[in-house]
Amino acid sequence: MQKERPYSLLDAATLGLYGGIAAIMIALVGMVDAFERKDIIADVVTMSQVLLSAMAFTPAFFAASRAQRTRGKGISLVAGAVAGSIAALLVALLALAIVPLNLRAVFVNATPVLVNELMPGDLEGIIGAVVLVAAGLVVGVIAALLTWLPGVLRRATIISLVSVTLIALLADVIAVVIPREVDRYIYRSNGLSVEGAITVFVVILVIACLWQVLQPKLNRAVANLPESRRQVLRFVTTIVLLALLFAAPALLGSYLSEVADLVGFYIVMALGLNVVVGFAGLLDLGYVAFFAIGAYTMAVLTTPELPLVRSFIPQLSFWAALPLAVLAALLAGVLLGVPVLKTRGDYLAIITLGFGEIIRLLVLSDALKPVMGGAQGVTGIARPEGFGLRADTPQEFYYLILISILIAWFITARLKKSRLGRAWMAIREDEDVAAAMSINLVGYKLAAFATGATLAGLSGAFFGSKLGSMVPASFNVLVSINVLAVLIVGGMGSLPGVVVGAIALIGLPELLREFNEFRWWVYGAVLVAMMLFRPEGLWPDAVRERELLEDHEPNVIDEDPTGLAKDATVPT
Amino acid sequence: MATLDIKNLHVYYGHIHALKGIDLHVEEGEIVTLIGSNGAGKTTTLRAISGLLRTPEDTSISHDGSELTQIRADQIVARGVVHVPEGRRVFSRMSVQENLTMGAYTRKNQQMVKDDLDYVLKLFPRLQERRAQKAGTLSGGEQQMLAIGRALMSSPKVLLLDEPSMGLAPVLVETIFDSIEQLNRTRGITILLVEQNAQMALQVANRAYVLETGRITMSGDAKAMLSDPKVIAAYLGL
Repeated sequence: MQKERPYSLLDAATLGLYGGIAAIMIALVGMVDAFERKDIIADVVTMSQVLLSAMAFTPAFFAASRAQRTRGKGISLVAGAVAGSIAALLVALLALAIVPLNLRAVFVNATPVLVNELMPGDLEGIIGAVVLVAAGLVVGVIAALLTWLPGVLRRATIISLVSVTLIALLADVIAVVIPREVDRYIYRSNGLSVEGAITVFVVILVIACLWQVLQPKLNRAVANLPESRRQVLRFVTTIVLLALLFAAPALLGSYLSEVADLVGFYIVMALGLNVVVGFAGLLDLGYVAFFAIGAYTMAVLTTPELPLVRSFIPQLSFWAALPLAVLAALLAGVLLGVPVLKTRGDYLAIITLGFGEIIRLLVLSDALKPVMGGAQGVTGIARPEGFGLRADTPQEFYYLILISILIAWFITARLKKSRLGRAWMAIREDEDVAAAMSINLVGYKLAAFATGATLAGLSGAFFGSKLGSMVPASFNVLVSINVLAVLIVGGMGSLPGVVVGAIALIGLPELLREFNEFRWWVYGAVLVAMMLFRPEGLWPDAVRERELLEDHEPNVIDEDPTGLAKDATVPT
Repeated sequence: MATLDIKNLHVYYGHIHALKGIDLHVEEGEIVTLIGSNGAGKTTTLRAISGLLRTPEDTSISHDGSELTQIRADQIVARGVVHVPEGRRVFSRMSVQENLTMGAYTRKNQQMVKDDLDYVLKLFPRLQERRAQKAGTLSGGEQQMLAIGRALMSSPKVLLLDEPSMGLAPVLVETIFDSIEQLNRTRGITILLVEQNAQMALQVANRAYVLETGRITMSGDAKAMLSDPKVIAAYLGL
């Protein structure tokens, strides 16, 4: 093991500098101004105060915990204070510089109003700046004190702080699901009430502590159960989970079901792309094409418009068009796959990227307008109906999407463990060697591509029907990138990871409407942070996790000069 | 009829003419070695045989009389011509056992696969000890054993070995070469061996070819070459 270098205060200052720069960016992109009116705790703490404090708190926390590990508690306080105050100092300097340097000429958000918002209270000028730095110092010290706490309590505190903020931000959404009395107690018209915030904090703190203490014991207890009992347990958990999923729309209400639907579309798509990228290791950047093909097939076959098409093909119902839409996507996957899959790596990525754009431009083109609807798109797409039922509301659609997720999950989970799955794994690891194992590269790659395309087509067909109308703009390259990001954030190759990733990247931004303006900004920041701190994803696949963690350990390839030493110890 | 017969093999990497018309044949049951310095085209030759590279129209590579240049890499393996690539490319995240079963991916007869697995584990007892271990954590020598063992699992008639001695301690090189001789003798597997370690290669081989910048400059009996002054000066460093 490499010995950790003793922590110097210069390191702490550097971290503080990063925090300060992040805070300045947040101020200059207009987030501070926008969130000044959003209270976390009504009339006490605003969202921008929380954000700015976080920019001092986070570096101070990391600086302090590293200082404490190598130099002890005393130094950790100083390190926290240094990091916190330097972050605040940068913000203070920005506040002082805005007016004299006329920064507004470059940054539209650098207004005198922003200066007021950055400065604490009604203070201004040097006094304000000094108080601001002092505030940063206090935040830094608090962060450092937090690192003194035992691990369980420390993690619980941070979880609780983040949760309080989230619960305040998601007020509109949460208010729908909780009983009226609770709502009255914890929420004011603008943010949490003081007593509500304290209650939420304490409750989550207790739960988080208990969970951390009990979870390992629970795991051990489960591991000690005989296999037959564990199977029963697994079965019961699955049933409970499914029951919850099926009961969800009734609890969630219309808006949340709408969001759940959107997340569902992405889950089905991501499960498909997971086969292509996660299992077989083929980087497909034009995945949206298959989604579009599914959606457009559904649209063209079921709309009453497009007289030219109607003169050839009768108008179909949703259920008649669904298999055709999925089939069309599958065929497209095979057709594109044949020429493309002989290339590898970067080349494959570029070609698929091009294919995605071709499809989008085709449906957009004027030449194909009589068939595809052109820039105006297609409207009047059929809704699923049958047995006297018709899926119109988001809640009704939720069930259909849930079922398609379950189907997609079942298929990909089985594929992963199959012979086909092993061949994909071999191809992902080393194409040449896989070929030397007599694995037909093109054939197996084609299978992966077609599976992915099929699931994208399924998702697209439901998407088209749900929207009722569609325009080519819904199918730009960002969709492909989003699905890929869902995989990366969730954990490449992992099925639960897909669900977690879709909720985190598609669901949360949808719910955090306040961030809407800054959505892509936050999105980018989150992706960068993920890759730095948790490259294996939120819920990684067991195999992938192992390989990423192995990279941090020295490789064991030293020779054993004794050759076939029989007494060699076998690590297990 | 030679089991592996190569006529007029040309390979181009863009404008670079890497192999300039090679003629080479390997008889059944032989160990033939291809020696030469860095960049002579040894690896390229093997990659062309196993179908990983494209060859021009007038090149002919045949195995037991049937042409290999027109079929895919995986079909060539199915014919029994199996390549062990250089640099011990094992599936590092799979266990030793999984690597070996990967080798028998397309074989149907489970009993024969099991017999071959037993044979490989007897040939390389070290792999037996480490069956459950991840291949990436094996030592270099063990990975080479695994790469060869994995190739054996596809029940090859001809084994194309690319630099099995690369980066290994001398003791391990001996072990590996002993195993190569053994599987040639006991299983009758024909071997085309590419080596930079000419000394070792010429000792185990029946015949040898010397490759220099894309051309074969010498060929003949391996033992005779060991005492050939030109070979000694250029490749044996004595």
